[in-house]
Amino acid sequence: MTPRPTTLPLPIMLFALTAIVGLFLVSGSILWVLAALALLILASYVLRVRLPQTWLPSLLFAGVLIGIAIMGTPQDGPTTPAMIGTARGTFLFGQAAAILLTVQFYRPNASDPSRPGLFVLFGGVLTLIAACNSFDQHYLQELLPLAAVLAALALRSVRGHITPSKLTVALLIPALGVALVIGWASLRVVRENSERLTEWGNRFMNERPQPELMGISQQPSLGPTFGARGTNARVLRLIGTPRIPHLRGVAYETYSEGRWWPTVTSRSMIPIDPEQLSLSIPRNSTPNRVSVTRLQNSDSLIFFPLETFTLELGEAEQMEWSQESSGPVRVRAPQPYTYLYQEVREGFQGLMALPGLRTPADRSAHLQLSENLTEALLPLATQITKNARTPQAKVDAITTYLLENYPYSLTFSPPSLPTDFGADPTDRIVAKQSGRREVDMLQRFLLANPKQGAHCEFFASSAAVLLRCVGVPTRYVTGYFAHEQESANSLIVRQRDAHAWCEAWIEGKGWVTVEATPPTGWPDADKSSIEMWRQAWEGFEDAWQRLLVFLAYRDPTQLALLAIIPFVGIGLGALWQRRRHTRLAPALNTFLPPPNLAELAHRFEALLPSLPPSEPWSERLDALPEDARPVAKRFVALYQQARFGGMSADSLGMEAVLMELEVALLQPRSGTR
Amino acid sequence: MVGYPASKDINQHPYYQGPAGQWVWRFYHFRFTRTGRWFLGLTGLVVFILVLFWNLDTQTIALSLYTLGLWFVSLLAFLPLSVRATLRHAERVTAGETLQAEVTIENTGRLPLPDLTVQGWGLPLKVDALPEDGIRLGFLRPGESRTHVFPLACRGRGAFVLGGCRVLSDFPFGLLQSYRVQPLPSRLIVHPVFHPLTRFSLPSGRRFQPGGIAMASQVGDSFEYLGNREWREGDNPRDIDWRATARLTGAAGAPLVVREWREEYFLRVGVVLDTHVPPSSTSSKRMMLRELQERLPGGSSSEMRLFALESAISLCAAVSDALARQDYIVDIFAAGPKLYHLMAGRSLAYREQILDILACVESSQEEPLSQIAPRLFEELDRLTTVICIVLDWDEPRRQFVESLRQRGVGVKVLLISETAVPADADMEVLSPSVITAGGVESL
Repeated sequence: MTPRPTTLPLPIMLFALTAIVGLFLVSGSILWVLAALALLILASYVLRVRLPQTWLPSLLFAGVLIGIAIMGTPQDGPTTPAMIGTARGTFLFGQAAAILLTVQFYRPNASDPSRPGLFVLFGGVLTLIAACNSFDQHYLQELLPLAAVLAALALRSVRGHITPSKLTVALLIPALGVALVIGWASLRVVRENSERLTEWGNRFMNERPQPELMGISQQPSLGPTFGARGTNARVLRLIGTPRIPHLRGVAYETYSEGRWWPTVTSRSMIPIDPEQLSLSIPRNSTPNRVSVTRLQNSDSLIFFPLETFTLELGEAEQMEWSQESSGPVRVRAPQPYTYLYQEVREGFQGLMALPGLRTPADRSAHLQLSENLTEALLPLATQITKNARTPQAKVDAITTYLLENYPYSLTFSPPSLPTDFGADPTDRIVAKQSGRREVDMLQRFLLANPKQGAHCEFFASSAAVLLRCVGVPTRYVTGYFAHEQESANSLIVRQRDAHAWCEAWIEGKGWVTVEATPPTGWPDADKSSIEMWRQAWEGFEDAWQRLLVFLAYRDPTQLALLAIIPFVGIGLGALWQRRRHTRLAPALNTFLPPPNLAELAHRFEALLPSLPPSEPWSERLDALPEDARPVAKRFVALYQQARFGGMSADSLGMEAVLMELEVALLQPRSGTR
Repeated sequence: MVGYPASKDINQHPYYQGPAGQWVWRFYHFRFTRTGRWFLGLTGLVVFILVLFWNLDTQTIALSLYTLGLWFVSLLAFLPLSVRATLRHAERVTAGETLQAEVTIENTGRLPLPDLTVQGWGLPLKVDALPEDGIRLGFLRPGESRTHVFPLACRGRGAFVLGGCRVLSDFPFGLLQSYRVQPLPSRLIVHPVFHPLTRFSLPSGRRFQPGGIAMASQVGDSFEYLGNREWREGDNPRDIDWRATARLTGAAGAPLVVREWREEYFLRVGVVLDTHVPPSSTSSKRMMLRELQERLPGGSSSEMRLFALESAISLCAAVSDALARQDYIVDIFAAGPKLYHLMAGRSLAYREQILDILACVESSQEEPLSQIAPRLFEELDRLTTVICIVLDWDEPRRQFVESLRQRGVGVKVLLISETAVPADADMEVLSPSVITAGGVESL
């Protein structure tokens, strides 16, 4: 009687069946191949047929089953369950995993009995992964705890535990219970907080979680330190050759008590029609196309120069802008998000320069100043611009005044003025109660004697306010100063490149950028190098992003294939190692020459000078006497032809050459008389 | 990391030599079971897919959380293992045999210990525990002890120290294991395997052999009877052969006849073992090219050379055994890593000592004959024959053998090679594979 074939332990079989049933239910009972696989698994406990140990029959068997599965899997249709990616790809992946585990029931491994069980576990989990890709429950809520229990028992049986005692069983049952309760409770917590977790996850995967690290605050306020001073973290990557370094993000109109208004969050945003974001190409201008990739996505702002005439926002979930203050443009989009802008020459009235100051109300909004401030700064502004007749001349005069008279400093120590009550908050309260006026931070900066250094927010605000004093409409702008070359064709913008400047309205010209910060305060003056760890991290981030992009454009079938590749690689590597290990000696023997050639080679070797064994013949021939070398070379050629040239060995000819060589070596040398 | 059993001595791992690397290796092998490592990979895959798509509306999150639940309970269920182990085994065994060691585990704690397993710990590379992943002990109540046979397969010869054993429990799911190492260092000598020779003929030297050790080791042992002769003055009267004298009595002046005896000596034979295995150079492109293009007889790779060395040691054991059985005294000379010289034969250290020495011999990257020669030449006056077991036949070896012959010693060269041809009459070429298979019965 034929001996009973090896079968896998019961928990392993039950786990495999549970995984297959799970996928079958998720498919809506259309994958009849899975039912056949389940029957095949059950049949393995009755049938005595087993596959041989070699790979080929198993591969053929699995290949046939996969072929049937491909034919039996319908295309996606209206009744197909909702899944991430195509359902057909997921089903094929799951069926392939189920086939992998089914084959194991017919392929016992005598040398490693636990291996088929491990493969069943592997295939079972992959099948469950495919099943769990579904958005619908399909009894999975009940099936998964059962699968977890069976997986735990299967893990024990794979390990080859001896029959457990009653006490072990008594301990095992609560352990399983605790595992299930932990899984169930944590699932419940996740379900209750799914929105928050989804947001966190999206941030982790696509965005940075700290908006303030963008270097752009919601509202600029003048303080002793530069509020927008950022770290070396990357924010944007510009691909192309941008000509204008000032990438504006947000413009502010109203200045009051050291702050610019309105805040970003308080602006009313309206959806953008993408056609609104394109102007006709100006005459006699060569457009410059720049692609910007957002590396941090905290507040979804878009940065581009004032001179941009076309903005292509690509595929985004939500696009909106605030027209009342000439921006900002805000786009919500999944990472990696890339947009394009086209810029022309400096001074061109781009998208954010329009529609301009068309009404008196617009003009007065950009000339807004408090009475106190106007009263305090008007004498200075008038004095600076006393010789300037045109708005442009006034802009130049005030810019020159600021550049020439004030140094740049990242910190500003507010001095006390004669009419002041100091910068201390307590003093301010006391002073206010006593009816004294509070002195604005800009007054402290502009009217201090001796003059003190400050950061770009002070220079930009000073320029804006002084120009307003002399009747030139201005607005305060925050954004980035792009300068760091990453490669020949790309620039990197970091948080530390955050900058502030102002824009002035020149009649007949429109809005122009006014840079009043001394060059030593421009972000490109910061020569400090990027930390080593950050460079390494950035390299990793780029690689990760490339991987995400690569994976994002693959369909589930391709993803499944990609997931399989490492396992195939590991398998092939293991096979190769095993084969190399077991066949090393025979393989080496195949390198050996046939006996007749070996004898000739041995004799030839004996005639050569003794050198280390790693020296090939060709290098040893140089040590032979000159008259013997041609003969030796002839022997080597004959030997190589016979050994590797596919020719039959001419033993007699080689013998003759060898004797000729021996004679040549025996002859007295001309130099040894 | 994969493929190096957890029962082996980590210090002999080819890569994990530093403390950090060894910690990682121990953590991976000692804390995770094999199934645990597989399941860890699967859990990683599930979590990776979850993070990749990050959509909590699919059921992947449920699968991930139940899987993590199993891991969490496995972590919670770490048991403090209070156990005591003892290990007993024979001190000597032959390569290829399985040593039946005996291990006793006692639960010295107050808690019952489920799913107990005992594994080897710190075993040498050539000694494998059977089965490699340990012997299941099952459940052990407090105070209970259990004794199991602990088979150790000795794959190669050597003098080893067995580290001890590791008692572990992978309760509840066989994913993680709590363990306690029981260092029980013990010595184990694995003798080389050899097939005894039925006949071994020796070439004799031209010299008179003056030295040697008397065969009679105690008073009363018989001497060699040479013949009868006439009595001379001073002969022991007890040696008079009265029967022979009686047969000659009829003749006039018939002399007394005495029996003549001769003291008998063992002949001493030197056995020189070549242990030279050049450093592996297959990593160099040049050597690889040479291996592929011009693989020559004798120019073997390191693996083949080591195989030849093992065969040579096996043959050396067989030759020494045959000589010692034929009333020869054998002087074994071997170098690697240090110089060994052992005199063995009847009434002296015999097979066990020879095998002990041969168990310890290792390959030498330096030319060993230069170390052996001075010691051998000191003893050469008392040696009749020298047997050289060499792995190569090149100029230094040829000169070495020639210098022995010039001193009048009979020399027999046994060249261990698959493909070499004999260079002279007193040389025999023996294939390593034939020696290993026991195909050499007489020499």
